[in-house]
Amino acid sequence: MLRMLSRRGEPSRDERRIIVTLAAAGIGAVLPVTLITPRGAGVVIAFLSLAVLAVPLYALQEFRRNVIRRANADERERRRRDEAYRLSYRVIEYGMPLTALVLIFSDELGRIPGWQWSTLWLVVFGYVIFLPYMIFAWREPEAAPD
Amino acid sequence: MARTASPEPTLFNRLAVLRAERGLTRQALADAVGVNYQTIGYLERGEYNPSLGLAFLLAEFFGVPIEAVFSREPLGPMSTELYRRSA
Repeated sequence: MLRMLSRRGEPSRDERRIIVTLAAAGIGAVLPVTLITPRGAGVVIAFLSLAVLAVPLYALQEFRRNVIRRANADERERRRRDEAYRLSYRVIEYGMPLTALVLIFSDELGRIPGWQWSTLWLVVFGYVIFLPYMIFAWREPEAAPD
Repeated sequence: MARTASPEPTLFNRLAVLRAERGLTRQALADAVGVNYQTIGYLERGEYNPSLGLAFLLAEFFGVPIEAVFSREPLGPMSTELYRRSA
């Protein structure tokens, strides 16, 4: 994890993909976990979920800071970043309405207790914010040896 | 009218040869032209086509015409071209 703190020590493609998978699965798992949790235990579960999620999200955030959003990113990196933003927008553009329609027609939305809507929004925001970085980290080729 | 995807044309280059001739590391070349060292690797492997500006910058750095570094056709050994021209 600490190797991501320096640009030269960035993670391999496999490591990046593991981080992305953990982060994506972790964000997605927050909702079903809280839905099956009794209201009283919700806060505990939320903290536990965040604690488990913190590791891949921290790794993704470090990758974002050191590689994706570097101030002196060169033209190749800027192009890859733009591609990731574009692809992310496409996924959200089609994925979110589709998911909403599925939930509406399966009547799942009505089963979500009012106090858990905030969790749903948390999951949505988690994906919206981290999706471009997940896509970038997933697609970036293996680093070239020096 | 249907829109068709326009894939980037394949671009061949002699960056690895020129860099090796001068005994430069990727990092040294990257620093000289202001890109990340990995971008030099992607360029050498043909996994990234540079902008026109970067292509000119690289050619200027090596002191050769841009067509000696980049080409739409596969590039042969430089020595072959050199002897062909001098013959």
